[in-house]
Order: sequence, then structure tokens, then C-alpha cells
Amino acid sequence: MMRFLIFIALLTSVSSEATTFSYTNTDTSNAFIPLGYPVPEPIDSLTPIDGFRSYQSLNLRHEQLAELTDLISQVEVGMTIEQRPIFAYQLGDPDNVTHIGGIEGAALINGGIHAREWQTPEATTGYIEALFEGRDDQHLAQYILDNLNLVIIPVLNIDGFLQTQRFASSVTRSKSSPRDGRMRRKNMRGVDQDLDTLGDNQLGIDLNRNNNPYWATSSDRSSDDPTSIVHHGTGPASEPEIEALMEGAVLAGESRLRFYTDTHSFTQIYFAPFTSNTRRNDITTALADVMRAANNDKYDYGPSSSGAGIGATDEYFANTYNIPSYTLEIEPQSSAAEYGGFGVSHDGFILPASEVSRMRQETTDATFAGLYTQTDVPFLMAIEIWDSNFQELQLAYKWQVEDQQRTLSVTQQGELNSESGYQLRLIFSKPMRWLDNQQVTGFGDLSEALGIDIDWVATVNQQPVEWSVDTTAGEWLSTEGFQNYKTDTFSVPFTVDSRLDWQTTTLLALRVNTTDFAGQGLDTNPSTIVDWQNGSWLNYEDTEGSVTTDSGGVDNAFRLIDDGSDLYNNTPNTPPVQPTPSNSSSSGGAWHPLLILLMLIGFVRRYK
Amino acid sequence: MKKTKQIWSILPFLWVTSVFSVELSESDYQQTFKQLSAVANSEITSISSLKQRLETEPEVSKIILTHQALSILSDLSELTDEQKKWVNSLTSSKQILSIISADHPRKRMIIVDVSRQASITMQLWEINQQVQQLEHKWLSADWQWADLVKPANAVKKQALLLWLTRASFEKALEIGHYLERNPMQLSALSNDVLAVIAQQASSNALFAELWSRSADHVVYAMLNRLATNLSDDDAISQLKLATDNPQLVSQALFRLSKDYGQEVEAQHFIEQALFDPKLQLQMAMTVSVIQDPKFKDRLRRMLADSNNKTAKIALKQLSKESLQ
Repeated sequence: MMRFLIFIALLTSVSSEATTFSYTNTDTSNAFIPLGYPVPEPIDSLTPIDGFRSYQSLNLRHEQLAELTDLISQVEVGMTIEQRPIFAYQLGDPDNVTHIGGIEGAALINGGIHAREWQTPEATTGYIEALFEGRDDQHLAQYILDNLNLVIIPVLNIDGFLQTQRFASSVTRSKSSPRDGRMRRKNMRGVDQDLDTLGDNQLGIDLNRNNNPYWATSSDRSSDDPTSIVHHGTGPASEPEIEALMEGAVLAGESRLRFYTDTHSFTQIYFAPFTSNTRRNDITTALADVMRAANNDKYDYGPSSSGAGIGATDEYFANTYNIPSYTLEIEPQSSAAEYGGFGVSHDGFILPASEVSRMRQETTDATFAGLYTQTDVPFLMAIEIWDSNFQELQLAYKWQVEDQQRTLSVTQQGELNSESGYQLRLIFSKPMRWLDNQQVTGFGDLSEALGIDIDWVATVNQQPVEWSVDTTAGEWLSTEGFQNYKTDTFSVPFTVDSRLDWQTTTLLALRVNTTDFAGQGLDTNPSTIVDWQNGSWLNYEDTEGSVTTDSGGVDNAFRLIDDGSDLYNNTPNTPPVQPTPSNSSSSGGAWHPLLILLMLIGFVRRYK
Repeated sequence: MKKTKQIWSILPFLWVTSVFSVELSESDYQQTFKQLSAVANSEITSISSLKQRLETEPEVSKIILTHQALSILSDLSELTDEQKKWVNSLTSSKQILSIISADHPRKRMIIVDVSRQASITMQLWEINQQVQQLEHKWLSADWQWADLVKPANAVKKQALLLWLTRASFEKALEIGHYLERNPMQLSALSNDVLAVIAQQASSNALFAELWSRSADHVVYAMLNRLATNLSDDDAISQLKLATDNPQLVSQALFRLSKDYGQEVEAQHFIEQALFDPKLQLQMAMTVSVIQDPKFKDRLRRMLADSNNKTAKIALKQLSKESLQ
């Protein structure tokens, strides 16, 4: 009887409206929500830990890294509702020029827009830390810093984030549908910091509904009710935090933007709004595949149709700047039961502290792969042909920038002898392979560790001659011998075909078929400089010379002996044109007027 | 009857996606939850009565009532066979309640999964029972130190941690003394068990052992809340000791500066840390969290004539107000 009465009393008490609930590991009571794992608390630490750092220490960490290198600059881009400065960090070398003489593109990454999503400030801080640690790695991090203007806002909704950390284990309203405290999502407009003031617990603006072009257009995922968890505010960009985000885009360089990610949790997926620009949409999908491949496709992909939205920041950036834009929802997929927790409602926002280091590394790998891909497309920049013992350079050719285009210049004049062995070095414009513990590896199903075919194509005594290079005898250079970045150079021995007679050869070209590790094909006409414009790549020719496929292809443009035939239609119809010897390493040198005329003829024929 | 009619009236808002999986709006869920609380108060008398009630309720109400009952049952430490049998039968339930969630990317969030909740309830019972058994063993002559060092399974480990968390100071002290006398068993303890014992016993020796280990989330969390577990003098000593572990340097310096920046011993350590190559880089940033204005002035004077980079960083931090 007594047990029954206790049961009834407890049933009654859990049914009545308890105001505050506390997350616990396994402790149970009317006011407790056991998670099944230790409740994460904010830790004061500059250095990364297995766990979540306090906002104070995250902020100091960002400042510390900016103090220690000129490659990271802190810029105040706005203030929060509670008058706290919002900081963006500009990462990259001081110039806006790529290492191959182009103009750098830009990218913007945002974190901490929803307060309770603690994964995101750790992820964005992880990006900054990894770029700092890898700034001299001669691979991915250094490539990104040298060639991209990256802006990261690690924590946008600072006020809300601090509220969740102030009450790291407390929530209000109900166990199954908690609000405020640890589960605050919105900013702090109209809210005090006192959890016991129940009347304001559900106020605030959802910063990811406060954006054009679809502000207040979704009846089921956005609301004008101030207590709604998706309250969109009084107007688009009404909130100072969103103004700060827009200022971050200005800092990055609006005209140069080519990548945006808004970082959230949870659901383990990349969401991406489509627009009316189908090329942009296709690139967005391909880029998502690259980032997903970095984590073995653990993350899903969810594009949404163009023409409608919910007022999210990714919609704003996709439609305003015509760029690939994502909402990255970090793990878990559905709940903390995936890590052995009890899987209670909303515990997907409470990633166990023991999972944070791994999450940070995985999101860094994925984001770096995405940034690498959008920084630039690959092209074959130069070749060197050495004697078989690497003692003497026999020939060298390089694409060099002059005005707004490139010309193929001879930097070392020479000839090749038939049946002789040589060492070929192909030098590309970016690192071409993923490294895993400094070992060259494939990258998902987008590229293989070797992944390169090389053929020589010639016309000798007016007869076509082709022979292949055994690339399995070669390697991507990752410890020494590379040009600028590990794996930007492929080195392989080859033997000249017996049919080649340098004196009677009218065409001798390399045909190179490879991709960068993200699967992007080579720009097959390096004479035109690639850039990003209006949602797609400009001057990015594919195997057939089309500039609308955004895929690149097989490079046939390296002509050691050029008969002037069309690059994409090998019909020799003009006298052979010799590439002009270069007088210096950085310029094209002097040009004979007749040669200029002949080259112009060849140029016109190529593009008629 | 009136309340039952009210519940039926919300049926148009329900979207039954499969036989036992139910979805409704968040506001309707909250409304139903409140209505059923009042219903439960007057109708439920026992498990058999509860089961009879559930048979007459619509699916949403069944799930919510079951959820409420399981929540209560998971908190009990003594259960009837009938209660255990009923909960066990629910572990194969297919009842799921989702709310249409405007903020969730998938637009719906599962808030009640009866099968999972029943399994958790069983697990929590088991934990609570194991806690009782541990207490009984401790009080009788049946205590096995192996239970401390190598719990047989995950549930026993969780029970051990919960039992230790509730341990009195005297009990924790006794356990701590045993471990100090048996270093092999001490070294075999997992971080989480060691941390709880150290905390409950306020044991300097056990804390020192904890900081000497490879740091994980348990160690970081314990260092972070050291001020609540030890006297000021003991905490400062422990924090200084923790700086010997490179993984803990930043956190220890933070705590010394933030919690004890007004204490003379901590201040001396901070001054030295600013010139210690192993510590100065972290210390230079962390000075910004010191609250004692006189100490901050003294540090400024001390660093004013120094030209090295970390001194300049520290001076810059000392001139700022701490962000909070």
C-alpha cells in the first residue's frame, strides 16, 4: 500500500510543472535528466582538450594565435545584444596574390550561431588551430594560407553561448522539450541572464531565420511569435549578430567569395540551398562530396530546391554571392545513444566530452578538403627533364604569367634523344595528393594514391607517334624534391621512343591525365587564367576545350615542339612554332617580332 | 469523459506515420502532457490499473502516460515484480512519439521512444540496485577491493561511480588511505573512479596521482572544479603540481589566475611562470583573467622593461578587461 501511495505521489509530482531540470550522468529524480554519460562542462583552457572550452578561454586562444603569427589577424566585426565584441579572424598571407600570380579567392566560415550547439565553436576553433599548427607544413594548411583569404567567425551568438555555459547542466520548461539554460538556441534579445525569470526563457531571435532572401516566408519553420524557437525577428538582419556576419563577408572581400559554411549541430549532414544557377548547384554538390569523402561519407548531403527557404544564412550567401553555401550539421546523427548514452530528448546537442577531440579533427579534415578544392583548380605548371641520374637538367618548360594570360616558356633549352632514358618531373600548381601520416594515399573514391597517366604524343616525319610512360615507376614527391608543396610534383623515369627524331619532329607534346585529390581535372589550357565568377569557374577548359563543364580534363597543352595546331583539334596546318627561350626565371624575355606574328597566327587559329 | 473528449479533439493535428509511430506539433504535445497529468492524478492506481487505462487511451495519450510512468519508475530503488515485468515488456515496444520541430533540420524530433526508455529504466534500476549492493557489502564484511579496481561490466562501473559520488567524507577517506597503501591497485584504477574518490576524500595524494596521468575529459573536468573540493592552500599546491603535466599547463595556470590570483603563493608562481620557458606562452595570455588590480599593477611594472615577445603579450593582456 505504501509503495502504491509513493508511486501515485511521484506520478503526480512529475506531472506538475517543474521549472528547472538538471542533466546528470545516472542520477535520477523528478528534476533530473540522466544522460548516461558525464555531463560536459565548460573548461577553462587555452589549449585544445578532450572536452569543451569556456568562451573566455576560446576567445583568449584565438587572440593568442593571432599574437603568434602574422598569418592570423583579429578583426572586430560587430557587437552582440549585450554589447560584447564579435570577432572575426582573417587567415592567410598578407598579400592577395596566389603563389602562381593570380588573385586570391575568399571563404567565410561561421560558428556558434545557435547557442546550445557546443560542437561548433570547438570545430571552428579547431580550424584556426590546425592552420596555425600547419602553417609551415608545405601541404594543405600552408597551401590554403598562401592562396586563399579565409575569414572565420568562431562564435557569433556569444551572449547565447555564454548563457548555455552559465547553466551548463540546467534547462527549463520540460524534460522532453527543454528551453533556455543549456538548451538556449536563440540570441538574448529581451532575455535576462537569470534562469528563474521564467517569463523570458523562450524569448530571443533565431539568428538562422533572420536572413534574406527568404526571411519570414516559411510558415512551418519560421515564426513571428517571439516565444517560438524559430522566431525570425522584426525584419531581415534586424539582429546585430547577423550584421556582424555580413561584415565578415565584407572583410573577406565580397567580390572574391567562393565558399561559405554555417556550422551547426546536430544531424550529421551538409545542407545546401540550390539557386537558379545550375552550374553553381552542380559545383556545390561536387564540393559536398569532397568534404564528405574526408570523413568516409559519414555525413549525408541534403540539397534543397531553389526559390524557397527558411531565412537561413546559407540561403543568404548562396543567393547573394552565387557561391557554394552550406549548413554543416555536425554529429551525432540522431542522439547521444550513438555514443552509449541514454538517448534522451535533445541530447544530440550534448556531445560527450570524450568525443570532442575526434569530432574536431574530422571536421577539420573535411573543411580543409573543401577549402583546398575551392581555392583553385589544378594545372600542369612546369616540366623538367633530367638525365637519368638527375645530374643535369636537359629541358625545362614553364607556363608564365604575362599580362592577363600565360605563355609557355622554355627555361632550359635542349633536345631529347631516341632510346635514351631520362627523369621527368611534372610540377603542378597545387598539392595533388592527400597525406595520411605523411604517406601519399587516395582520397575516398575521388582520387587514387598514384592516379596519373602520362603519354608522349608526337608527329615525326608527318607520322603520328605515341608512347606511354610507366607511371607505376614514379611517385608523388612528399619528402623532398617537390616545388612548393608536398605532392605538387610527380617524378618518373621514362625512355624516349626509338621513332623519335628531334630534327624531323614537328609536334612533341605531353598528355597528362590526372586530378587533384578532390577529383578536379586539370585545366587543359593554362594560357587562360582560371578564376571564379558568377557561381562557376571561368576559363576552366576540359578535355574538349569547353569552359562550361567545370570539370577540367586531360592536359595536352605542354608542347615541347609546337606545330601550331589547334589544342583541341590536332590538325597541323601552320609551320611549327618554337616556344621562346626565357631570359630569366620570372619573365618571358625578349621576343623576335616574326616569332610574335607567327605565334599570334597560331593563337588565332587555336581559338577560331 | 470531458477530458477524454478534449484529447480526442486534438486528433486532427495528429499524423500517424505508422501503426505505433505518432507525430504531433510541439504545442499539442505540451497541451496533451498537461491534460494527462491531471488525468493520471485521478485515474492511475497500480500497474494493472495503469494497463487498463492505457487500453482505453488514444495512441498519443498511451505513449505520454507510459513515458510519465517510466520516468517515475526509473527513480525507484525498490520495485515490485509486477512493475519489473511491465517495464521489461515495453523494451520491445514500437511506440515512438515525435514532435514536429521547426528548428530541427529533419523537421521532427523524437521525444519519446518507449522501447529505449524502458531499457534505460531497466538499466537505471540495475544501477540503483548495484549501488545498494555496494553499500551493503561495504557495511558488512563482504567488501571486495576488486570491485573498485575492475568493475565486472559497464553497469557495475556506473553503479560504482554513483555509489562513490554519494560516499561520505569518512568513507571516501578510508578508501583513499587503502589506495595510498596499495600503489598497484591505485595505478590500476581508471581515471573516472580515481577522480571521484579524490574529490570525495579531498585527497591531495590521489589528486597528485590523477594529474600525473595522461589527461582525458575526466581529468580536465576535475582540475576545472578543484576549488570546490580543496582548501585554498591545497588547491594552489595541486594546481602547481599539475603544471608538471604538459597537457594540463593551460588549465592549471587558468585556475591559479582566476580562482587564486589574490593569494600570495599563487602570485609568486604566476610571476615565475612568466619567465619559465615551459609555461610563459600560456601564462602570458592567462594574466588577463587575474582579478586582483594590485597584483596586475605589480605584474605590469615587472614586465615593463622586458623586450621579449611573451612579456609584450602579457602586458597587452593586463591592459584589457576580462571578457565575460
